[in-house]
Amino acid sequence: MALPAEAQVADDPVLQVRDLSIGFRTPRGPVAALRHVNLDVPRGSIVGVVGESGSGKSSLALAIMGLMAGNAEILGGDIRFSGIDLRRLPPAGLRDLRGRRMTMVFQDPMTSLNPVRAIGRQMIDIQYREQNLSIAQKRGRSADMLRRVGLPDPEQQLDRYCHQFSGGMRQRIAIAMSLLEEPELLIADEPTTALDVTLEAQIIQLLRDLRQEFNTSILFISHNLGVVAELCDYIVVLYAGEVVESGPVREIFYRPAHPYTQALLACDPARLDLVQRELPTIAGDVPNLMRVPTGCVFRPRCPKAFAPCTNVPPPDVALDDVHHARCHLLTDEQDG
Amino acid sequence: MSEIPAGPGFLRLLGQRLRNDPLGLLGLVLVLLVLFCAVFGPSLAPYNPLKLAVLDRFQSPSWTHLFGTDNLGRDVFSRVLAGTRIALGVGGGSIAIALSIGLMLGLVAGYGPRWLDNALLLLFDSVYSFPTVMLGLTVMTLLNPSIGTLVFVIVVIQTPAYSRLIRTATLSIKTSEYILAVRSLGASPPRVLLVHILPNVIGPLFIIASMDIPSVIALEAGLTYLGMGIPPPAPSWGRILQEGFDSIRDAPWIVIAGGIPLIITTLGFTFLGEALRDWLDPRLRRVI
Amino acid sequence: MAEAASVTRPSPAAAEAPLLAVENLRVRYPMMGAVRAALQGRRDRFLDAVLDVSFTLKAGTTLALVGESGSGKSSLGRAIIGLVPIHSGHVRFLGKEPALQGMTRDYRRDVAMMFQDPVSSLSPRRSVRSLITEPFIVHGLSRRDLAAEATRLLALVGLPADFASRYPHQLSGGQARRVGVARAVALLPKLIIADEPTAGLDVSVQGEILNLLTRLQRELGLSYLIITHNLAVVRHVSDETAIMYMGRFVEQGPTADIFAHAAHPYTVGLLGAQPKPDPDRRRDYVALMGEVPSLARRPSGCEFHPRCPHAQELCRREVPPVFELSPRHRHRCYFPAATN
Repeated sequence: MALPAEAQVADDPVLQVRDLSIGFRTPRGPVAALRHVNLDVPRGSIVGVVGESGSGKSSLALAIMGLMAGNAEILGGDIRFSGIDLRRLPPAGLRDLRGRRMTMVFQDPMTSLNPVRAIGRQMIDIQYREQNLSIAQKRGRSADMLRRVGLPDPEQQLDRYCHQFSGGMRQRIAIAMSLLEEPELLIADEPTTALDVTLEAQIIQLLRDLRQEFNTSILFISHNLGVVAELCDYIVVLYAGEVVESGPVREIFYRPAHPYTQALLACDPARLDLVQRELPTIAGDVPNLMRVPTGCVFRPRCPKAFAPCTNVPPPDVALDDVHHARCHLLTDEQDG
Repeated sequence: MSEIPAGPGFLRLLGQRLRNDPLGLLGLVLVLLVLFCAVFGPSLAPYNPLKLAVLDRFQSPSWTHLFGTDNLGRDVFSRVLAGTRIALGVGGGSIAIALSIGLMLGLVAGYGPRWLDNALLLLFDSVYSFPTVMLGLTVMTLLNPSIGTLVFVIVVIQTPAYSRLIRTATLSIKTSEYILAVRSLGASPPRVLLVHILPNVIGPLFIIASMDIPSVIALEAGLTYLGMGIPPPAPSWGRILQEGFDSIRDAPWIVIAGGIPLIITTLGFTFLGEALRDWLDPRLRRVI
Repeated sequence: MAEAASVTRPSPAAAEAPLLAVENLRVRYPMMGAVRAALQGRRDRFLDAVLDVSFTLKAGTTLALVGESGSGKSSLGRAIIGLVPIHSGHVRFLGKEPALQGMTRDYRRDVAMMFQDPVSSLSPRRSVRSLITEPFIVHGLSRRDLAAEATRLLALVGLPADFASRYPHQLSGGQARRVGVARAVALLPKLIIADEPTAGLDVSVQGEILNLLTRLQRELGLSYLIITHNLAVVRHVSDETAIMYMGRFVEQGPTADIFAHAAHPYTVGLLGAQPKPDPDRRRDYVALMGEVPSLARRPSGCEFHPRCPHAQELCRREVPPVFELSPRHRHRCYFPAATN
């Protein structure tokens, strides 16, 4: 969520994204995947980025890590990591940050680990910057980390290959690898989406415990409202490439201000107390990002749209210093 | 209702690709040139390729004889043009036959019962492991050399590789969800194979086959050079090369004249084949 | 409370004959060829994907098959429709056993399946029109006006007629799912087996597809077997639910009963593991530890005992039989939650 410039920022956020816009060049034309995104991750907190398909949440994660596809480009804005301007950093500088101070866990544990190297080998490689440690010491650190994420017999496991582990185990290994160097920021892109719900619950608990222990800030990307409610301190809601609302988790869940957030919460079958055969939906489809609608991007599907929504992009309204939403409906209600 | 437009058509996208891939474009141009010569060549040839004019033998290239004349006074240029038709006819024709047989066998091997698959694999691998030229020579010697025999040899040599390719592709598609879906509707195995599996496996085969055309033409040239190819006086490129080598002291231009079309054809089909492989499938399909 | 291991079917007089009756079904897959098994000295080279499953489905109702990976729910669905062979047991549809008659054409018209991935369950090189009219061609009904049928089916599932000329890669997940529904209802089946109908769909779109299925159930008198791991959805759209673990039904019954009075510890754990989209109701415990064991190393007795907080010696020794809490609410647990 965007902390207003005037507010005294006592703590330095570990990640600060301002006005970020990303586009893709495709054979059919340019796609405006992210537009004017603001996002803060306060140090030591877990920020959830919630969005459906086409929201741009994965592009955001990859952009922060500097791992974007060849046809993607940053059209504007800033990304600051612990004060460092990532856009102006030379590639070598970014590589130095990645894997050490800023790491990432991906959605599919089947494909995010190298299948032809033993995991111990991979974990030792991650520690390549530690000049003062011997291989045996690095192995020891790796085994400790594996134990910490709940793998039994970690010393034995170091010599095994990832296909010898189940999906849940692999994701734990991926998390272990990402925390080996005790990064300041862990970006998790849908880390539990491919897992069974019982494993998901275990991973959520693991991330909570590890955050306590290592004081790592986490940027948690998901489309699953239940998971972000369990885990996150702050929520950023992305729709079709824009941040439509952001704020503390309780505010978002109990006092959602933006119609999309409200509709999204209403659609989640887990939130419906009364059993109903007819489920709520959001009419319409995500807009084509090659032809972004004028005015408010959610207008075509918004049940509360009125005159200004068609032509005027809605302003970012601050409901209090941390809770923001972009909606014309809120401007009348804004306190002076 | 939907915000996902259908997107520009296939041809438009193909046109865009062409602009980005100069080698592919070159390949296309060369292949079209060769095709043109094959179809119209003999009608456009200035001289009868078989006509003897011994008095004019070994004339070097000039405006009257673009590639000069050979040891029997025949115009080499006309012979090359006529040979194009033979090359593409034999090369293209035999590849087409090998393609069809290989497709059928590969589909059956991939989709059918294990024992059939094992039997066919045994057959493919046995033929495949014979060195090509030796196999060709052997067969050509046993059955008398002729165009028909040559086509037979090429088909035998090429089919196993194509069958294996199709078999592998069939095996991997066989378990995909859309095939399961169609089977669950009650579709019979022939329908599943011909209507649903075939269109999805045949793409790469066309590309590989088109790149094999030049090597088959070269095979013919080699066999002819060894005396086991298409019998004279048919002006196949192999024949031209063979005669060229025999008279290389007197008329070095003949060898060059015989080699140039081979080079052009090989380059053309290779560039085109590689470009096709890039153009087709994943990128063109990802319209969204 | 103990009952014999086989399910007692309701007598015909007590209830109308069920549309689908599955009895002691077993489905196995070979892990390796016979030669390799002999060389390794393995006596059993098969994996049991579905083990001793029995249930009935009444016409016009929806049964949800719930389970995680390795539960066998997809194999069960495929066995019912005949895509994988049945090892033992019976599948009876309207009283007859299709497997014994070689999966007749009639059966394939009456039972249709929808597959998990919306886009990859559609042949990539076929247009939407040819995909949804495929059932007609397969069943020899190609004399009908296929273009008209295609338009009718598209309208039925809420897609505009011009979608007929699109290709699968030009469809969004929700649209592709609708095409799958259109194909499944083309020949007016009586039963549709839907394998993860909401997989890959955004929450805002899930409701559309489920509502479509509900509407079609009303209009066309369909019955559904929904295979899913999404318990939140199950609670709303299914009449009965069956929970599977390592190939067995560990609990089954009316959905409301299962959610209100879950008996089997796995069901309790599964319900507890669902993340609640409510920040004030966070759990600080993990409902279920451990992972599902590999099917190749099936635990003895009750397969759940390694992870069960209430496991006793009996559980390790003997597979629990089916117990009845009420005529339709059954489970396999010696020490169910209700008695703890």
